[in-house]
Amino acid sequence: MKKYPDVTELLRQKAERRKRLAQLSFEEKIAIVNKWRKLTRNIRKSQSVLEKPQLTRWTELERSSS
Amino acid sequence: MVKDGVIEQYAIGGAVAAIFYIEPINTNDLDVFFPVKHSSTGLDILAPLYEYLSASGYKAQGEAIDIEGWPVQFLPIFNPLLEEAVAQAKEVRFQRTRTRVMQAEHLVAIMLQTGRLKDHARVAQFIEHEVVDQGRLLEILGRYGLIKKWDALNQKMR
Repeated sequence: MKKYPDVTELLRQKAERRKRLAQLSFEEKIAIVNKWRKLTRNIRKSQSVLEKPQLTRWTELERSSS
Repeated sequence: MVKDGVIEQYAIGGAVAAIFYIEPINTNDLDVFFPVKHSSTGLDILAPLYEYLSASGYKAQGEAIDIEGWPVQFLPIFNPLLEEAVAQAKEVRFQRTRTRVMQAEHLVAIMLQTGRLKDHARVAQFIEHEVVDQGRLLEILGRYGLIKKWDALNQKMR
């Protein structure tokens, strides 16, 4: 039988971190959310840049197959 | 806006209100619930609000208004539970501003009433972080006929 590592301690630390985050002030929490929102916006922007050439290629494929 | 008589009262609900009690969660907008003054319907309800905010330099962004980089969605109160949640919201400070945030027990009741998967996941977070007064929550759930939904969710969470 395959053996897997024991992650109990990792999960405990993770739960503790979530507790610590919940205890932050409202301002601190909103500042974190603001950072995430900026990150998400940047990721979306870079995704749209990556997606455009692919869309063109699909359109070309459709055209060539018709 | 309350001072200028545009709205009588308001309270922050949704994810941003949840953040007040639990760990930060990713969200894109800020939900503000407010009671409707007159018996106007449809988009008429929001017209005075939009006029006031656009006169202050804020721009509409879809069905929300961009206020300091946050899409703020103004939602008229549409049921008795929301009405109570807004009336009994607690006053909190955000930086130098005083604002009103719905209480944890009302937020949980609203999430149960809405009943989407993400609402259920959030209810679990409220319970996990022990930010809910169980007695008060049960009293609210009883008054708004939400006990069955609560029991069903508890069964799932076991």
